[in-house]
Amino acid sequence: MLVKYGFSITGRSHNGKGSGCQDFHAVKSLADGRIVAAVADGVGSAANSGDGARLAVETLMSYVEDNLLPESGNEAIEKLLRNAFEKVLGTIEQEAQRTGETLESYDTTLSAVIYDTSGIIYAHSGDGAVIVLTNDGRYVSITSPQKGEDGFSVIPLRFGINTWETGSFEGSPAAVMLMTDGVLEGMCNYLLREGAESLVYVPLAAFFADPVGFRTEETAASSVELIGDLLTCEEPDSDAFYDRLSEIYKEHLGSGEKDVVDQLRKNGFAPAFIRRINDDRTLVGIINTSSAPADREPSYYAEPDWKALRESWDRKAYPALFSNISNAVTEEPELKEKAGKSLPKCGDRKKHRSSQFESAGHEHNRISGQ
Amino acid sequence: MLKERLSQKTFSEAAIEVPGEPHLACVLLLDTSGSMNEKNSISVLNRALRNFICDTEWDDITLARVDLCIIEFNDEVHLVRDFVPLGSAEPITLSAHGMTSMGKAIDFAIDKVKERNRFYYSVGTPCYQPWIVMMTDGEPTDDVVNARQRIKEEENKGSHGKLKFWSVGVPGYSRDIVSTLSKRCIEMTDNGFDKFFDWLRESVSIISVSNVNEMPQLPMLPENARIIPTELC
Repeated sequence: MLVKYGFSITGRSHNGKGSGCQDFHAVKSLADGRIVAAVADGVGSAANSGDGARLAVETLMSYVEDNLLPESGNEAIEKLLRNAFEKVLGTIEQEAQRTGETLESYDTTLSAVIYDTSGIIYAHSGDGAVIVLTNDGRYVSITSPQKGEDGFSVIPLRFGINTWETGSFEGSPAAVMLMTDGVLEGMCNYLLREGAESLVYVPLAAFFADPVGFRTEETAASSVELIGDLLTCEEPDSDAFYDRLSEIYKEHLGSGEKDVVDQLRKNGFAPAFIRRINDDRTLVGIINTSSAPADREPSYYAEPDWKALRESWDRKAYPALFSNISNAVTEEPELKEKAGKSLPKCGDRKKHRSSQFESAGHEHNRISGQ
Repeated sequence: MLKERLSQKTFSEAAIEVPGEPHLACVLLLDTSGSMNEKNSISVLNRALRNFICDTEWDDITLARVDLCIIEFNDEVHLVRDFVPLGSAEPITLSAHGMTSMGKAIDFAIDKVKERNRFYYSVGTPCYQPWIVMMTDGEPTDDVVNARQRIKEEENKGSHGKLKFWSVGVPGYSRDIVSTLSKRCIEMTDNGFDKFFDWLRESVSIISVSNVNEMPQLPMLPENARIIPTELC
């Protein structure tokens, strides 16, 4: 059985502004049994980016349905996806001309796959991702987030064919997930690059895509509901998440499952990673429940050593703090006297969990972040 | 000692409650030329800077996400503190002397934030548009043509620019020059730096909880500061 699901949830930041969800997705079974899926993320604050994302997904889905031939091989499908991306860009250009808006104002990302049980053909533009569960039990991102070297700008679909990434993944993947950048940051925390066993946070990925969680129609329906809750709710049911993960991990770890899940449950990072996403949240999953990906070592499923990963990152980011040389400037002697009272110590900082700043105020002296 | 402090502040269990944060590179580019000795401005700045760094109102998210760098300029340009997380920053005390090498200082600050964002990119860390906040009470004693051009280029790259450069003039500053440097020019009517730093604290706090690529509304400026229209706006 092939299970598919998809969610695009408006992020907190867009809810607050009333700008609505700027992500869009679609996932559909074709008559020949293959599944086509696409996700798009309207870029930042581009005025019409939500429309751009919707047009991108709708145009791609329609083009693939109309042009995918049952006998097409991988190469032909890859070419078809490239053509579909060109068609998308052309459609958006037409829309921009029609409305008199700039093409840039429709900027969007786009990632798409055509899946059958033997493999995946994909095309990708922007900072989303396609992650597969391989038949040897690993979660692997088969695309690279496309960002500018400034570290924050995204390379949108508009940048054209030379920036688009296409390819295939063979070897009967057990599952594939498509996601926009918000979910990707939760799933592929950058600290994992500092030497973790997996670049994907396995507890989250397993919850979203392990075939064990979708084996029967009943468990599949329940899993999809739980995934929806996790992506939608401000306070998702953490116990329900870890209970389901426990069922999945029992299949891979046997009696070793308890220790691993207990530790994960105690930390509660998986729901927290999702909860802190302010951006829109889009996730599409396609799971082949007949597949049985190999079991990995227990450490693969366990909590990464975040402390060590963070220390590794901190050592790169703040070498001065790890140096034995202090270049601290001594306090100006007369400052205390002038002030007439003792100066505050940084150790007195109170901790506040969230920003307390209201956006209300006098408009005449307000500054736009732009 | 520094390692010990880092151990307490950034490696604590509380600090890794939810691992991995986007980062905001923020450079304070401070004029410490001789004129800052007038009206006790340098002492007032030191106090405001200390209060800013040690502020009790910082929230945990901002302390973890904002990387602060402090650069001073007088006869020379001096990296006072390279980037550290706000949560690990310690107060500093500056002294004023010499001239106003503003052009060189701006060049150096832009290099620092670009280097910083390239680092974030290289390790896959999400980051915000970097901020440079320059505060000056004088006029440059070196050439700012190149610096002005670089600010303009960075502010105009892409849809929303690659840099937020704030020129903040305190009494005695050269409006004719400072207002031509960037789109964002603020004039203070006195040397009440504390109020400006309160605004800065609120602003970077808002940025640090926003989405990367988002342009949130910033708070109202304090009563002793106002926006100066520039030809670049």
